[in-house]
Parts: sequence; C-alpha cells; structure tokens
Amino acid sequence: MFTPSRHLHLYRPPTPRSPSPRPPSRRALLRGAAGLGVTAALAACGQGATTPRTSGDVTLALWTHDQNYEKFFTRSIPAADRLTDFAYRLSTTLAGAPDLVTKLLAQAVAERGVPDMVGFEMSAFPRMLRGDIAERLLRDFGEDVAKVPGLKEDLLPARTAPFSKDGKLYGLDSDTPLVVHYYRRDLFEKYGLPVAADTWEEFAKFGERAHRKHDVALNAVVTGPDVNQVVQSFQMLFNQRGGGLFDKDQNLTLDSPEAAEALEFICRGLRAGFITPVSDYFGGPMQAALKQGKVIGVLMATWFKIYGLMPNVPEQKGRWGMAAPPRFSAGGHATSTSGGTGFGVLRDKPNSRAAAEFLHSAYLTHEAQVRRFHELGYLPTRASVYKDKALLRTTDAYLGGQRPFDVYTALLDDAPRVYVSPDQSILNDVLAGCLLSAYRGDLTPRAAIRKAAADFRDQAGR
Amino acid sequence: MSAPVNVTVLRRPLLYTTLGVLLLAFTAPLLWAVSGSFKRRGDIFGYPPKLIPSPATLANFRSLLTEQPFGRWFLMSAVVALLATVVSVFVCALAGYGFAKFRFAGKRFLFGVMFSSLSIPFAVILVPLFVILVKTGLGSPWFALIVPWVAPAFGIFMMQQYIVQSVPDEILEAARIDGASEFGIFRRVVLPLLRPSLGALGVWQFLQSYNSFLWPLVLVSDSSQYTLPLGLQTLFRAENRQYDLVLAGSVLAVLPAVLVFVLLRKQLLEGLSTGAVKG
Repeated sequence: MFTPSRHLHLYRPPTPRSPSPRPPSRRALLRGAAGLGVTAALAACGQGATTPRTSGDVTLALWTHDQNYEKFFTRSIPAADRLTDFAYRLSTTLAGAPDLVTKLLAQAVAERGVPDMVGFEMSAFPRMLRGDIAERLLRDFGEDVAKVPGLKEDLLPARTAPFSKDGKLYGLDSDTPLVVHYYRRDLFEKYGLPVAADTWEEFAKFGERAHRKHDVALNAVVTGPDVNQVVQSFQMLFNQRGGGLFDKDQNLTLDSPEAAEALEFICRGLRAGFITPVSDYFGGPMQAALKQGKVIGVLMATWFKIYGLMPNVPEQKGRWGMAAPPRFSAGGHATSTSGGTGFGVLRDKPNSRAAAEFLHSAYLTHEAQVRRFHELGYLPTRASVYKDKALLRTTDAYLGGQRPFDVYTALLDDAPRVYVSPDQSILNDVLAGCLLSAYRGDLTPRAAIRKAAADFRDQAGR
Repeated sequence: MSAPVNVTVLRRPLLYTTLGVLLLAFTAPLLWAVSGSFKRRGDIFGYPPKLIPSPATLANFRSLLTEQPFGRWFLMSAVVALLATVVSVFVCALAGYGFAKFRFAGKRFLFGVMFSSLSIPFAVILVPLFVILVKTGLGSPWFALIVPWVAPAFGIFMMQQYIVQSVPDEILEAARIDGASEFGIFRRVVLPLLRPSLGALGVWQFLQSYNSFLWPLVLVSDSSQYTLPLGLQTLFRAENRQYDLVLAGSVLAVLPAVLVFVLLRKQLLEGLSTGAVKG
C-alpha cells in the first residue's frame, strides 16, 4: 500500500548561482522583482501547516486543462477507493493550460481556493520552477515513490526529468509522448516510398524525389505565430540528435553542433520541399493539407494521432501508419519526446496525502497505466508496463490494424531526457525568431543558433 | 474629341465598390464562423472551402447546449455584464458630475490620480485586487466579477468631459433656485441630458465586461459560474481544438453584443460624436 510521508518539507533556500559576468538586463531585473514578490507572497502559503486527512470522505479539487483528464480521474475513483483509506469525490475546474498556472499563483498569494491536484501541461510547467515556487507549493513525490519497492527504478527518467528540480519530483506525467513518424500508408505504397528509412539523410533523398515527382511533403514544421510550436518542430529533431535546450541545472545548452545539424536538416527539407511549412500543427491549413494528400507524413509525438489526425481527417482512418523515425547518422537517439502533462499535488493541505494517494492509484499502478492507455491513448510512464501482454497485442484501427507497441517498445529505451527552465518562454521567443530566419535563408543554421543563444543570455541575464 | 469624363458620375460606383470590398473584408470572418458552426468538425477546413455547409448540421449547437453548461455560461456573462453596465454608468455619471461641476479640496489631485490610473494595465492590479477582495471577505463571484467595472477611469473622464461641454451651469442654478436637492438635480436634470453619452459608455462597458477573460479566470473556480469567454476557452486548448463547438459558441456569444449595439447605436453614435462638430 502506498503510504506517503506525513512530514512537512522544510524550506531550504536554493543553491546560489555563480555571479553573472554581465549586468542584469532591465527585463531580468523586472522579472526578478516580480519573482521576489511572488516568492515573498507565497511564503505565507508554505508555512500554513494543516492537519492532513488520513481517511474517510474527501472531495479533491482538481484543476486541469482537458476534460478527458476529468473523465479519466472520475472513472479512477472506484479503484482509488479500494486501494486507499479514502472515499473520493472530485470537484473539477477547467481552464487553459497556461491560465491554470496564472490562476494557481494568484490563488496561492491570496491564500484562497488553491486546488488539491493540478495538471501542468509541459509548456506551462516551467513557470512553477522560478525561484522556490514549486518547492513552496508542490509536494515532492520523491519520498512517496521511494516507499514503493522498485517504483523509482521503473519510472522512465525521460518522463520524470521535465518535472524535477534539485532532485525533487513535482509532477507525475500522464504520458510518454514518444516522437514517431506518422505516414500515409496508402500513398507511400502508391508512390513507392520506403516506410522506414534508416537515417534522416536517406529520408531526405527519397523525400526530395517524392516532392519532385508527386508534389507531396513527408513532414511539416510550424512557421506560424505560436512560438511554442515553432520551437517544438525543431526541438524534436534536436533532442533526437542528442542535444538539449537546457541541462538539468537549467543552464542553456542550445549552442551546439547538434542544434546546427538538426536545423540544417529542416532548412534543407524546406528548400527541397519534402518538409512543408504550416502555420500550426492543428489549424486549418494543416487540416487542408492532410485532406488534399499534400502532407503524407508528420514527425510528431504519439498523441498527434488522437488530437491531430483523428479529429481532422477521420475519413483517412486505416490509411495511416506509424514508424520509428529515421536516425541521424552522426549519432543521437532513436527518438525524442514532445509534450506531456504532469499532475502535481499541493503540499501542506488537509487533502495533500489523499490527493497523492489518489494520483498514485490512478497513475502509477500497472493496471492504472494500462487503463490510461486504453482510455486516453497515453503511453505508460513505467518501463515494466510495456511488457504487458495485452498491451503488446493491442491493435489500432486508425493505423490500419497496426500493433503500436511494436514501435513503442523499440524506441522506449533510447528516449532522451528533456529538461526545462523557468526561462523557457524567453528562449522560445528568441529561438522561434531565429529559426524562422534560418528557414527563410536570412541566417545560416549555425548563425541562427548562435544568435538565439546570445539573445537568450542577454534577455535572461544568464 | 472625346467627351470629358464626368467625375461625379464615377464617384458613386467607386465609393460603393470600395465600401462593398471593405464590408466583405470585415464580415468575412463572421460569415466563416456562422458557416463553420453548422459544419462537422472534419468539414470546417475541407478543400475546396465551402461557405454553404453541406451537410449542414445543428449538432454543434445541440452539443453545446446539452453536453456543455453553455446556458449557464451565457446567463452568467449576460447578468454580470448587465449589472456591471448599469452600476458603472450610474457611478461614472455621478463621479463625472462631481468632477465637472463641484469645487472641493483635493479635486485636482484626485482627478489626476484617477486620470493617471488609465495608464495602468489591468494585469498589474489583478492580483492585488483579488487579494484585497478575498481578505475583506468580498470575494464571492457575483460581487467580485462586477467590482473592476463599476468605476472605470475612462468612463468617469468621459462623463466629466461631456458634462463640462453639454450641461450649462445656468440650468443647475435654475434647478437649485426651484428648490431641487443636489441629487434631484443630478437625477432629473443632468442624467437626461447625458443620455447619448450614457448610451455610448453603456455599450463600451457592456462589451468590456462581457468579453472579460483574465479577471473571471482568476476569480472563478466553479465551472458552473464561468463566464462565456472562460467557458469557450475550455473547448479550445492547444492540441484539442474543438473548432465546431467554439464556432457555434462564438456565434451564440456574439448575439447579445450585436443586440446591445443595435438597440443603442443611436446613442452610441451621438455620444461618440459629441464635441467632434463645432457648434
């Protein structure tokens, strides 16, 4: 039985960073002041210790950006009631992913109405890592996980890394969003294209040919106004090549040969036409391109089938397939990851323990992870669950009866860890601009990466 | 030798053509939204694009009204916006009247403070305002949703300007001589004279409150108390964009705003043109 610690975590100030050689920018100063303000205001929140509930009826306040999570957690209640000493009810608040963090911080400062459990979409979570906000507000799952034999080793590091800071785990991810290559099975066959290229270089060769002969693209990158998506297109390849935007200490590691190589590949694809620019992955132009059979392949996370393909081109059911992405011949990983949502629990609240146990029963048991895949389509975050025989036998009608776990299991062991930083939004702003300049040919890939790194350091003050 | 071109004859068609193009440009998004609201999600971005939905469906509206608490969102928005409008129009008129026609200590200072508050973005005062309301026990949604709109600096300034220009002191003096109370003068003399600008301010205030997103987001956690912008936003998240429902909801949501504009357009135009033409 899962028994989280009742001990309250004591506040320890974060390790001071080495002094920056540059004077802080105006933006950095303003942000620092704002951060101090929030931190000071949050100080009161972290110190209001309360007696935790240990059993009985409990209504958990759940905040999430997706109704599907609400449905999933509601259906998780019977199992949670069986596995714990609590009888659960849920009270759900829905809001946009970035709005949830804004709302959480405002409520925490006002000391009113903070939730018991909250889902942090990957792009929204970095704001919680500023200063000691996460430490003051969120429960560290480290001890909880350590108390279940074998669990810590079983949890995929690729999915704990993005929600960790200073060795503390603040979110349990809902997915292992491996990056795969979705492709139009029927059109690949018709045009005589190989389904699984070994390397991106090989992919580029037949991609160029396919575009020349049939006017189709085998991948798409975002060039629209959504900077997160612009960076996402690049980051998937960059991470796969073995690089990362940040290291685990939140230091920028963008400026690297791997980044230039990944960007060079995209620029080559755009010029040759086998990669097509789209305004965003989910909008009208992408849908139109899919419907017309102009985009016959997309390199994206596994959840793109559910949110990108199935709702937009339902009539293409059975015509799509999924393959492991090609690799970079110079090295790197078999795949990368993109997206995810980590659920956190607010600490020092009467329901903190109840919420942690609920989350454990809904997210971390073997049965819960299998059920989550069947109900939400999200991949397990425990390595052992990938050996589940029922999962391995699962077929996917939208993917023409393909067994998706054949692909997932082949990729799983080589998924890189991705680290985030509270300054992620600054990087996304500057990097997106530089990427677009490189796509247009205004900057070389190498220069674009250097400029993005320099602009980030200038604006973030580190 | 050819006849000279009659410029005045050409002017009208040119004007109508230009206006027609502009009309199309401005209404195209609305037409697309209306068309999309009757389409299935997979058909919204169909190729080639069709303005007339085929097949047309009411399923989006049905889904909004049966599977989402759209009715409650709508009611909440309408009631809050209406209350905020009525209260704010009255408060702005009263405050504007005070600034325009009375002398009191600190008037210039207070007016300066009020005026300078125009430059402060709402996002800056969001959290302090929320904390104040919570700490003073006034954080209940019905009350707090209206509070930020009841005394907008822009509205007070607008009323003050209008009263200075359009309400002569002589009328007020005459009313005082007739024995009217100060509030009676405001209610019976000043308010009727302000009708056009009250209409303009009312429309502006209604739209401000009706479209407000950030404040309800922070304030309301119970989804049954969501306002329309907040509710519609839950249908439109980054990777799961329910365009069909959002378009249907947007079409319904825009109706009250159009209705308010249609009903008050005369006052709105009069109010906005006050002072624009030299008398």
